[in-house]
Amino acid sequence: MTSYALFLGCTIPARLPNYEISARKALSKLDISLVDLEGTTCCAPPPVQSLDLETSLAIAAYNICLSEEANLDIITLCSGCFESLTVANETLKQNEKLKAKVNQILVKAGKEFKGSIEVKHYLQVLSEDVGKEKIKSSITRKLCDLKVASFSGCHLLRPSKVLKFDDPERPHVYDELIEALGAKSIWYRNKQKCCGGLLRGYADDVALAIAREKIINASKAGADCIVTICPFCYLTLDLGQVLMKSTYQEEHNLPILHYSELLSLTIGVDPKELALEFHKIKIDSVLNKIE
Amino acid sequence: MENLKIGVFLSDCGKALIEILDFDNLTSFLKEIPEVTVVERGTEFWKGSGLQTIIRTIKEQKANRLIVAESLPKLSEIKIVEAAEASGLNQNFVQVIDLKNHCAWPHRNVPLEATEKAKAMLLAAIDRAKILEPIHKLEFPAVKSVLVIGGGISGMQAAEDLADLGFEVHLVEKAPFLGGIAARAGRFFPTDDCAACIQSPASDVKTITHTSRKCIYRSGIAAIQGLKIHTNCQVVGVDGQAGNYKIILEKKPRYINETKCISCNLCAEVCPVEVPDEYNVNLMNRKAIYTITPNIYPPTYVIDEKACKFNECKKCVQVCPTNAIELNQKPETTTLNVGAIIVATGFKEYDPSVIKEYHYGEYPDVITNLELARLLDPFGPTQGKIVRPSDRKFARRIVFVQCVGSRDKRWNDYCSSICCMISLKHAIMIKTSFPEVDVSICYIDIRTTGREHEEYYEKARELGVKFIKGRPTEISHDPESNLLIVDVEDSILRRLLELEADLVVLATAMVPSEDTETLAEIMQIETDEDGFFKEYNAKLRPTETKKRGIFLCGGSTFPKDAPSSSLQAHSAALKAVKFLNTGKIVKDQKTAVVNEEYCGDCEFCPVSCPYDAIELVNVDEKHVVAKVSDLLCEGCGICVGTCPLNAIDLRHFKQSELLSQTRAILSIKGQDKPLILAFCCSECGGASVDSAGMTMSDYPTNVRTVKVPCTGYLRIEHVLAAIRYGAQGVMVVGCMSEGCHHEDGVKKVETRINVARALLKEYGIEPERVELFNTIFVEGDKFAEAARTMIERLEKLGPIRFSKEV
Repeated sequence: MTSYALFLGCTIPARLPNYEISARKALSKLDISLVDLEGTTCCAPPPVQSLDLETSLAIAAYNICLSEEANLDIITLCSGCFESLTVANETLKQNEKLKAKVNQILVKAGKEFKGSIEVKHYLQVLSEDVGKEKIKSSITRKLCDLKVASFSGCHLLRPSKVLKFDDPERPHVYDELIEALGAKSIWYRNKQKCCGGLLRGYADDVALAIAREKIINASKAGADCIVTICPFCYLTLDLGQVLMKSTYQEEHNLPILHYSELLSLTIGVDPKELALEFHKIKIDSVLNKIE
Repeated sequence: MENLKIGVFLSDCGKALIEILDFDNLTSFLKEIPEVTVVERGTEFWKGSGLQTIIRTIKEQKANRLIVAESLPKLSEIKIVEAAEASGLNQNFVQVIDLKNHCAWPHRNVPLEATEKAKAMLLAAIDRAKILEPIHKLEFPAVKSVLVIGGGISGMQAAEDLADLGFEVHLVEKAPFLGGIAARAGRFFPTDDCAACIQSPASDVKTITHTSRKCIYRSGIAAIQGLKIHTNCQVVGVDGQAGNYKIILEKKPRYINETKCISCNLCAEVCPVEVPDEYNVNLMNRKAIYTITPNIYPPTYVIDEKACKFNECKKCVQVCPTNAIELNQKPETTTLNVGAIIVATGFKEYDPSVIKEYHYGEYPDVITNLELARLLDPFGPTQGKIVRPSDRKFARRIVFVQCVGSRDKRWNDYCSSICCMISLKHAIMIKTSFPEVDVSICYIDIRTTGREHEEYYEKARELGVKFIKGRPTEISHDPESNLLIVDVEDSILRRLLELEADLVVLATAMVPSEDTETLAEIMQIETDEDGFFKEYNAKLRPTETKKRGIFLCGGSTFPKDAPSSSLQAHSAALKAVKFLNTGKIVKDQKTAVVNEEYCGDCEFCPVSCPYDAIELVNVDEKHVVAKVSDLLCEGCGICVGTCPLNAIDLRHFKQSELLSQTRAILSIKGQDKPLILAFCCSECGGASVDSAGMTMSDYPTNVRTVKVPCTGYLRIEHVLAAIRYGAQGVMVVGCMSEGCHHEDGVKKVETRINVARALLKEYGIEPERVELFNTIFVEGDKFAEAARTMIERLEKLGPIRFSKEV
């Protein structure tokens, strides 16, 4: 059994219990053990990086230090945490000057960044540690002709030179993981484009218009659901459909699922344990396609 | 040695100078110098009776060194030196100085001082005359034979020109057939004429008039006397030097005897091996034994080595009626001896598969312009019908994407210049044949800069081609409908568009041909930052390289349309003719010479020589000395300035000449201002001193000039010597930093000046007494102003106070 230190970040524990529970259940079923880190902080996401690089690196490095002390690699569920922690980890491993500066800050908190661990996204763990074959052989419930519009979002792939997860222009790893579950990952227009989520709070109308286009494109292509990775993509598309109702007087009712949920459902986790009631858009139509 | 007899000829330039310079004073000054045997005064000495006086003086042996003070620098110098040589005096014994522009005119308001400066200038020339040595003429044999690399439109035309003029020409083409990229392109813009069309050789008088143009196969190119065409052949080695290059050619086996083959096609009919035809966008298959298109030269076949089963099969051998198939052919190496090389290797399309968002290579219906040209060609795989390669259905909606891989910092910065016109040509061809097809062109800027190009753009718009200003962000493929979707922001409408298309055509950047880098290395010629061959000077020597006897034309220097390639071909041919015409290269031995006693074991001069004229030669196992090629050396003297051991000198401008001139010109002071020595180069820097005179820009007479071939010649000692001989400041006047006539001589001297300044500081002398100025001809006023500023600066500093011995 491989162990990882679980870094949850902010949005998942606060707003998406269905994401957290499904990820915990699925990973444990696939023999990945998760160790909860005590005292984690904000991951210092890209907006913080743009305000003050050294501070943001220090915040991210603080969390990495916790994991170094536990002598475990980090696993993240949120793509934003994946980006910020990986950028910090790789930057500090390569740049001795910055490392020294950041360690001067960390010493006040009694920490030191050593660069001894890796940061991984849980999809990376699934594709590299677990493997598609093991996922396929763990499947207990068949998907009946489920057409999935896959959506990976931005920070799973970019900045690609640092994250090294997949080819940012022609990604395939995520779609292969969806197809491994027996679903069909369909093509839809503007599949790789932004969800609009990061514009929320600044230009809500634009954000919603972008999200709406995504929902429409996926529906037009005959998708039964959109499966997301990132908590923000999920919120933008799931909660977004509620807002579309009031703004555009439109009902799309396109279920949005976390990949971890679809995974849990196919490898035999009881749907009752998955807090599925937290979905704003009900996912019964998807559940009906599971044997 | 014969006695030194110096003749001095003073021209008053048509009496223009008599108001300023006191010629009587100058004459009596000269007559007191013992070596001066003749002093003549006149109104002009570079023609007419003045020139006759000079000739008579030489012939009557009254003088054996000449100093002529004339204006009209260069032209007068050429005429006087010519006449002196014809009269039996060595060219190097004649000095022409310019008392008008360097003395009288800039100092016209101070005649007394000007006369004193004129004395100093004359004295400098006299002192130099005392130590001059003769310069001889050299002759190098040149083979009247030319190698042309590349059988595309420009290579073919250059080869034809040369062969028509009676030169032996070897036209080498790497591919099995002539034609190059133009032949694949099918048609030319904006005339829409056939790409297979070339000029007809003048020698083919029976069928062709001098104005005609013909398809390659009808042109008679192969029949031209003296033109040897080597197809399927590559240059693998170049040795020797200008006028006498040894070329090693490697001929790949064609497996067909070209002279026996009658192109009956029986072989291809029986050949059992079929492979995708890459020449035709893989849209059809060809046999392992094949030819590309019917109108090609040589009119024969070739066997695809990778596909053919050779002795296992041999069906073609059995069926060939002329026994032309030779399956046992091996690569052959031949050696040629040529006097000059013309490089016409052209360009190729950039491979856009690296631009992942366009999915070229992944989506079959995303193609390049050259591939589209094959579809549009009636000889092509679809007989001119436009289909989408994925399912061969008629393409109803076509989107062109411009600037793919060009004008894009990620790939190639530059504009490939011809892609707009190529897309317009294709759009017009499509719209003319199939008006119902929807054609859009996504562009950043449409660049139609040639004659009738704008009209072509207009025509495309009239035919209904849509123009969308925006660079597409992504091309995606809808597997359901098999349609491509082009995402583009129309920046004029300010709208995001999603264009549906059956076929997307990428107007890719044009980049150097594959072998450009290898060839550059073999021939030791330069490439530019984009990888194209670099011409000697884009403005004035666009088809020459820095290496003598190697010329460039066509797309090898940058992507070009057919008219420009053609034009360059004729230019390169003419340059080669000019170079080889007499069968010999004649030049003066105005070259560098190495003192082998001092020279040894460093690499400074070969590295610094802009002309690759210096090589290191072993004197014994461990030690090397530099050896200068008299053929390649251009006499700039940058090696003189660079040599750490002071082991190199110029035959035509020895360091002793520089120093004696410097001492003499500073020996007469004339007025109570600080003396400045201005070392100026013989190109732009020197020309700005000339033009200061021509424009009558005032500067003090105490600024004295000494000309050097290039400022790169100057050594730190020269600067220090000027100070030792009495200069209070030193100006170095060279070309603009990027405009040095000897590549980077002026940049090299800049470094040395900085060292000199540091040294002076050590001696307690203010470093600002030495300064470099970069000027061009028209900046005479800039030179004058610099000279005035320098004097003011030195007056403020006061006289040099030596704290140590210099």
